Amino acid sequence: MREPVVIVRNLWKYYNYMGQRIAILKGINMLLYRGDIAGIHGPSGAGKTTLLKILAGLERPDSGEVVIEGYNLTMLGDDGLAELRTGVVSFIPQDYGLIDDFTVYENVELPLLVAGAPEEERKVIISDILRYMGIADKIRTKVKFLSGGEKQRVAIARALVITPSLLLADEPTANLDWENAKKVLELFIRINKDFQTTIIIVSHDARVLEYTNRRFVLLDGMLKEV
Amino acid sequence: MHYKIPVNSIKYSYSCNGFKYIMLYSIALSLYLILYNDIVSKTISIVLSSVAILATSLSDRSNIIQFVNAYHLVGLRKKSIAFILWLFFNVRIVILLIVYCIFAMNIIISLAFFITSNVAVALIIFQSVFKEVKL
Repeated sequence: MREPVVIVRNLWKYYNYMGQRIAILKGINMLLYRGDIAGIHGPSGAGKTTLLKILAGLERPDSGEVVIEGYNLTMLGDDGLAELRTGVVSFIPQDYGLIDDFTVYENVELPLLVAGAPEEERKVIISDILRYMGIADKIRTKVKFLSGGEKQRVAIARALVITPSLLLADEPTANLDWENAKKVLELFIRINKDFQTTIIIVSHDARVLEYTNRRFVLLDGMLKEV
Repeated sequence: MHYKIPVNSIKYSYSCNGFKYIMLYSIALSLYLILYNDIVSKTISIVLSSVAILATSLSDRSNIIQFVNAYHLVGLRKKSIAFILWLFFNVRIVILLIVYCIFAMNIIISLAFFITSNVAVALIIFQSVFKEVKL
């Protein structure tokens, strides 16, 4: 029997704009199982990033329920949501969320420091993950000197280093040409197969959906599986 | 919290551009305190120094947001983020505090500077960074 990792029930999110309350997500329902690789496609402003941030515990819904790996996010406080990101969920933002003046090693080390991993363990895990990502030779390079594709790999490495159950990628191909984008998407497929990680990729580019086994379209705040 | 997290914050504070400006300002402040040693000048210098701390922090605003955002993403708790941010600013505040201790030679003035600059940073920079990162 397949194990559910993400359960979203009747999720609503509103924004206040010019004194008006506008619904950005309208009763979203979603069920993803372990090992699923899901793609959410939709135009800019459709609420894709908001949905992803709610799943990552970075934003709170106004109503509805979000359960990740058995943790009900709506019941968790700020500290609980932060803890969720140290071991269960990893989020890769569109701008990578890296510290430009830190080296690749220092950036990938951050989640392990927060999780309290000992130094020897950190060194082994980081060198293994960078080798897996094909950027082991960049370990001492500052992130500001890397190309867009390399930064994306560092961001993925940082997300993977805690071996999360759920990996969320916001527009991972938006800053890349299609050749590099294909490499990144193939990497997600490899991660999905090797670690059985459930992955959600959000993109405005419909071609991304070809690399996923569950396909959703988010339009006018409503999510439909296609 | 792992000791490397606050250490990273201190290292990051002096690697950012704002630290260079604070070093330059500390030289100017030293000269000012040597030349004008009355209480009014010292009081004015406290205001100027707090503004200098704010200005250098604003010059590093994008770096600070990147730093806070990265830790927020990997699950560092809000209180810990506030602590490392406080350390980031206090690395700079301590430089000027040393100048006050040496050249103003007045514990009240030094303490007044420490409190004023910390309040200014907490009210202006903390609020703006936390709002930007949506902490």
